[in-house]
Amino acid sequence: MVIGAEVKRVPEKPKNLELLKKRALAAMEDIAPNETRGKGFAKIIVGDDHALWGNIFADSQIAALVAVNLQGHPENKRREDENLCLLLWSHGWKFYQYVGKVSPYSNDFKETDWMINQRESPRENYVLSSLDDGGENHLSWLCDPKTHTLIPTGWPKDALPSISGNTITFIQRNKKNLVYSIYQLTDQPGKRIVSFHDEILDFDSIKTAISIWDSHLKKMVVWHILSKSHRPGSDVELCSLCKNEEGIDNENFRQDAVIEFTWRKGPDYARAKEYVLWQLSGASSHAINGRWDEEKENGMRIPISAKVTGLPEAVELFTWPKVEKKAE
Amino acid sequence: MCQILRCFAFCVVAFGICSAVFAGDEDLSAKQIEKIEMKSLSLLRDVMPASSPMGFLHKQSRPLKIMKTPEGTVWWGNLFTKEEIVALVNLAPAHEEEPGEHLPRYLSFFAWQKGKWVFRQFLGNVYNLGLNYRNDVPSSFLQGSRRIGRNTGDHLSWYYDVKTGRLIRTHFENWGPFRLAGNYLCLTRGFEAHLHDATIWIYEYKDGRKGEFLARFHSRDDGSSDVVFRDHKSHKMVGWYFNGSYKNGNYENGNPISVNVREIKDIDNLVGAKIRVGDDYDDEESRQIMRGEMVVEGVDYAESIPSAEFFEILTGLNPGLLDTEWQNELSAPPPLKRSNISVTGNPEIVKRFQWPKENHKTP
Repeated sequence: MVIGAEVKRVPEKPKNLELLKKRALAAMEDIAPNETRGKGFAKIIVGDDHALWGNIFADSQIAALVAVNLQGHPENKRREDENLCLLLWSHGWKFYQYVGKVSPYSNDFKETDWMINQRESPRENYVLSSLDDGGENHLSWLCDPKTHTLIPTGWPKDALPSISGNTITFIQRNKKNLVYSIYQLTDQPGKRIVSFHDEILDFDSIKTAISIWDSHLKKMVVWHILSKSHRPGSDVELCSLCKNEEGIDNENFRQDAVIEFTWRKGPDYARAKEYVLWQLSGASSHAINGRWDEEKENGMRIPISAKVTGLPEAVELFTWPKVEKKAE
Repeated sequence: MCQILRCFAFCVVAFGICSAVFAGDEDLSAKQIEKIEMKSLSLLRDVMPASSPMGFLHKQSRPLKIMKTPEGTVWWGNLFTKEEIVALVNLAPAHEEEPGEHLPRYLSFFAWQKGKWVFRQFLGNVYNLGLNYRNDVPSSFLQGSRRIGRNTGDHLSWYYDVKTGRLIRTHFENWGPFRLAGNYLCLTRGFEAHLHDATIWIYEYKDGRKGEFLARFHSRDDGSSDVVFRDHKSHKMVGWYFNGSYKNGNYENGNPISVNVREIKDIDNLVGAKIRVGDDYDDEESRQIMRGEMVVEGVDYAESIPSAEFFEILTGLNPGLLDTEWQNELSAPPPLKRSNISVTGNPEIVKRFQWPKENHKTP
């Protein structure tokens, strides 16, 4: 996946722009903001149209994003994409930008197919949407405080993005699996830190393949992790590890090392994978799970202990608590 | 003069707070309600209804508008009359609820007067709001519910009184929600644990008043059902219980359904109180008066037995009452297309389900 190579699309001017303007302004006509809304946004529902308003640009400018639904909500019919319009508040609402098409809300306005996601530091807001074509057409805009417009990010359309700290995770569906790729993020996605995907082997056995740059070998390598014995609710878990150069098939799992985890009580899903990914890449739990900064999560689940046998590199990397090297 | 006005203003406020305390059933002090009013007003601070709305873009002159924020939800517009803009403000819980926790969400009613929101009524802890309209009087109904435990909670409802501009409790519901369909009031089940059993209690309804109990229709998850109604001949309350051979709630074609007809002595067990699911069939307080068996022919395996048809045959009521929608008028039921039912047992049961009948008329 080449990041940033997507053309930043400027939407075509819609034929019914005047009607869209009127509808967007009508949706917000009763709202006269008195003060900044802080972090939260207010949702407005008026007939078939809906809006989010507040400090959308993470500054003092009050703005509203209004999704105008010209089709209504016909029963048993495929719903057309909605038209997203940007209004700015300055002694009244003013139409400022036609942003483009976004997925429609569900009929009861409960399911949100477009939303504003927040990056904590630096404070930036992004609008994400998946167009209604099977959810594979992901659109994203940066809410740019300099121009007070929404700017297409140019991120890949076939991947769902999320930002946590200085990393951006793209979740992309390939033929079989969901592939997570974590990149460094400054203004744009930069160097890839790690990518991984799960393979479900049978009912409760999952193998994870983690691709990462090996600075000693100066090559991409793949770590495979396979949970050997884990009963739900148990605080002890055994995992096998195998390390290969990228491109080498590992269908018959070769066991290079074994980790015996002892965990604290708590949610047990994918905790071993998260731990191994964290030790290999330093990525946060949010980045590994494709979540935005603002989303609540329990945080990285660190084991009470991780005893490793086998491949010396694995022993050094994954043993927990870390044993400090004595100065010679 | 000024003092008289001040005194009058004090009386108005005092009346508002007193009626608020009676309207809500929480033990809230006037001070607490005042706090809720202030919080609700702060939610309304950004809502300033435009003097000349662009309502021409919508079907209504001023459509219902909703604003959802982390602090609560506001519904506003000409909710009850064309002349007055009002708002319902439902505050969010004081903090994020833990699993199984049910914190109060207080509802207040405001009116837009001379360019500002004026508190009118405190409605108590209620959420999951719904507005329904009818052509007769009262025409506007507000419904809501509040869960206070896993299987406990209640449903509340008000109608809008045009004369006083206030919302008045209907007291239709005993614990579950209701709907109006034509001249009938249909009560349904509330928060109790029997999630899969569907029960509808049907009453007469006229001019905002609940009338006589007419019938109860009850269907269980296993496919069995019963209809309780006042028999038009004997004028006694009777229950017809249908219990057959079912698989996953579907009637197995060709298998007999037992019909057990009982005279219900204690009507209070059927109306108002929570239904004693499973007890009906062997209820000691009801005397068995008839028994029979029936086979419904031509019903595919995938279809359930035609319970709504049984309901209509026995009570003469429109099976549309078993639908879930509010209806201003009940349209006439579609022409009767009876299932082919063969019945053995008590002659009265046989007679009821014998087809074709000439000039079928509702009892």
